[in-house]
Amino acid sequence: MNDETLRDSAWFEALFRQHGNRVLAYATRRCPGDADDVVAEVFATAWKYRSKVPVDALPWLYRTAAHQVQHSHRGRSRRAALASRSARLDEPGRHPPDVADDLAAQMDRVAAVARVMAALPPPDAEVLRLWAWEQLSTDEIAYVLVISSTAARVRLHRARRRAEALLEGSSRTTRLALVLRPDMEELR
Amino acid sequence: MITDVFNRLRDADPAKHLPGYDDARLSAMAHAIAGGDGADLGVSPGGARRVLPRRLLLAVPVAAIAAAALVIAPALTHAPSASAEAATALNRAADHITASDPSAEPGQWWKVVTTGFRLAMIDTSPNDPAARLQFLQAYTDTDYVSVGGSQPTVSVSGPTTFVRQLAGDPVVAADLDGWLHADSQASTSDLAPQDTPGSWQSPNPAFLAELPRETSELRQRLYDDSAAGGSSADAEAFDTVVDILRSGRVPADLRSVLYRVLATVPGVEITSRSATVGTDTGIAFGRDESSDGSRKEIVIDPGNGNLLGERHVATAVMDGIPAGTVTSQTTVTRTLVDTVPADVLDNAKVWDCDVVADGTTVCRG
Repeated sequence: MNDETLRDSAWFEALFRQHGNRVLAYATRRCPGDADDVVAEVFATAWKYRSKVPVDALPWLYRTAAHQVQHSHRGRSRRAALASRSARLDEPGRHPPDVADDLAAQMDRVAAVARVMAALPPPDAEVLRLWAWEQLSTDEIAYVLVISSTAARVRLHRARRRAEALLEGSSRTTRLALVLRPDMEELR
Repeated sequence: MITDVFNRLRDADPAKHLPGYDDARLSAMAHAIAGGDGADLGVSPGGARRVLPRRLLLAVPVAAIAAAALVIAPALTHAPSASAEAATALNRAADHITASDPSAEPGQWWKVVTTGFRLAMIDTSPNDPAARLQFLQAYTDTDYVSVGGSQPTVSVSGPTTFVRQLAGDPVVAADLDGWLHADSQASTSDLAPQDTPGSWQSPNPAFLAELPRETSELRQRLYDDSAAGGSSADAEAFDTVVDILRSGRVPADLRSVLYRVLATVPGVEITSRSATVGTDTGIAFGRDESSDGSRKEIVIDPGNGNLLGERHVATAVMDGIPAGTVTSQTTVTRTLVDTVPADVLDNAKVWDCDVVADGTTVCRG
């Protein structure tokens, strides 16, 4: 794919269709308010520098996206995935049972991870995102972060251990400082 | 344990349920970029932040909007509308509504279950906003609505439960006394839906049947009926559509046209591509009213046009609640049942209701 004559609009459309939603997910995880903009910026850059886009394009797109995210002028908005039992119109048999159980449990899980990510040093949090959410190998993580593979492995190992410790602590301390009646205890 | 860390992170992935762009949109965006060339988009070789390409993204659906305009009455083609992106998505959702209404007999009942959570506030010191306790309260309300509209509606307000505190000093159980109730409370009235005029907020079968199924006519009716509300005409129109969708009684054909009408309401935008209500994730459409610091949204499954629910999001810091916090969400289920449970009827408090001169219903306990 080093032959630039192949880098035509058909190639670009195929690239966009193959990776557009991966880049959208990447951007949504880091700057949800600007995700659409980031996608457009990344692929505009890919088109402009199409001769430099590797055959295995995704890490290159992530690296470009990382640059765009860095410059995103908006802060990250917190997304609380607040869940209750779901329901849709006209779907008999879907009864919403105890809403509070799932709601509280899911909120706790998401909030605990959000707190851990916020508590970690930013480089550690980012390496975890690339590992767990983008599901990149350490070599790919190294490419995106522009660090050596060894450094990526060390950083990932350290970040996992720190996250593990924080999550452990988090699961013991996320309960609110409440004095609840017995019938409400289970809803926390 | 490492695996556990991985799984816990995966579980909390903010993009886990992201619907993403569909193929048509991906292709259209690619064509828009390749057709215009990066240089025209202001992409500099240095890669520094340049002109935001949101214009590009908004320009993409122009062809789709133009196509949609062909099927909208001519009167609408000159009307201002929702953002191009939101309009495209709403029209697409309208096209994709696949749910059909179950066949219902006049003697049956719609069991409409509304569930979710909402913001509750306790003022412990009225002169000190910082002392206001704010928490989320889960609830489940059930209405049994006569399919034919000939029997009074029976409503059951289920137990309410504490979910999570959002702001204020830590809540203790004593604070919550009087705010939460552990029992279900049933009520009904001596008026059947067919005995009332019906409205966007409380639609009866006749009201739903006579609403226009043509987009421009329904839009005109919506604006006429929602005029003179507290905020702007467009805000009232948006809120009124949300009201009737929330009722859980809107048939599929009308729901489709309501989405198309929303696509014409100025200020309606896609506020999130991955909004979660319940366990489902869809596209959130909202309309900011800058005055009250919150935004009302409806969330639609882009794949099949199903209404997933409704939610409110703080758009500014509110007494300690961070901007971006979801302060309420609602999902609605509608199922057909043959009867109202006997224990519900036996325990229902009956209200004495009358329709007064201006068409509103007034009840006495």
